[in-house]
Amino acid sequence: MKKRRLFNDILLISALVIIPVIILLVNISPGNASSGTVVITVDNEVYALAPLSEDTEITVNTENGINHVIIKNGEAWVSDADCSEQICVSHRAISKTGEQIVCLPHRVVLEIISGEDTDIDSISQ
Amino acid sequence: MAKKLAISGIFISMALVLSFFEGMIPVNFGVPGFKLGLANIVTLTALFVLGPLYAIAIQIGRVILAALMFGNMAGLLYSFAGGILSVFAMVALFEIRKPVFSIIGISAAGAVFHNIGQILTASAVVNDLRLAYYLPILMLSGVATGIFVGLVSKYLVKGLIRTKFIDTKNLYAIDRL
Repeated sequence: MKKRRLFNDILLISALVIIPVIILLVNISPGNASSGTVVITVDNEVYALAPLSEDTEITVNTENGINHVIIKNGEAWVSDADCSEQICVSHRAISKTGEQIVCLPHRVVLEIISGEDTDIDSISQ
Repeated sequence: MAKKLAISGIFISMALVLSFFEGMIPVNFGVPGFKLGLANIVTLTALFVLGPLYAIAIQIGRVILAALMFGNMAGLLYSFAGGILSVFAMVALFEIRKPVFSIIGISAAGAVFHNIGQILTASAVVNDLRLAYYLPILMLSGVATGIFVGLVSKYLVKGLIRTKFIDTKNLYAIDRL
């Protein structure tokens, strides 16, 4: 009886290990890695909304100039701009909620909303 | 009956001490939400020594008191859902007519269901099912801590039997360790 119970225990515990591993493997598979949305605002007004999951290119035409935004592999970045500073171009790609790329001369802001959380907040502890 | 009630009270206070003690251990192994679940030692021991009804009562009392004493009201919701789901899962496995699982298997299942309950409640509160992506990692850590807690409880129950503090004639499941 004791041996039988040990065997059952091992069975139960392996099931409890295998199920989350399978879920993890399914989740890691590419395709649903990114889930955020890029909000592009010009002068505090929304210019465009684009999901991170679709690869696109957006050209932002402002009164002051042009910014070229690329969304690829769940990340967004500014590939080129005709502004004087080029800070937005040298900024690394953004993908997590709250991350921003700002082009001050053109008053363009890229921000990620409802994407992957950067950190765990106090509620989930 | 009266003695069982008195022992239940002692068990709740022991569980509270363990909850408090656990809060002082700063480990989380890089997994937010990771807990050793030391208080579950008491629930498991109560399940085997006093029986399912007492285990459920002790769990409810422990969760509410721990939230009032060391936590906040937002935390109460999560730990309540986790604690209740956990104790009912353990009771269900315990109550299968033939003793199919030992205390270690029951403990592992209890830990995993605690995490499931917490994550599902958190997802419902935040209204965002993506929190559940985090569940597999917590389940794995729950299995590990659950086995540890089960082992501790096993020797605790054995020790309690030897002390004669607990009436072995009415012991709920002496042969099920």
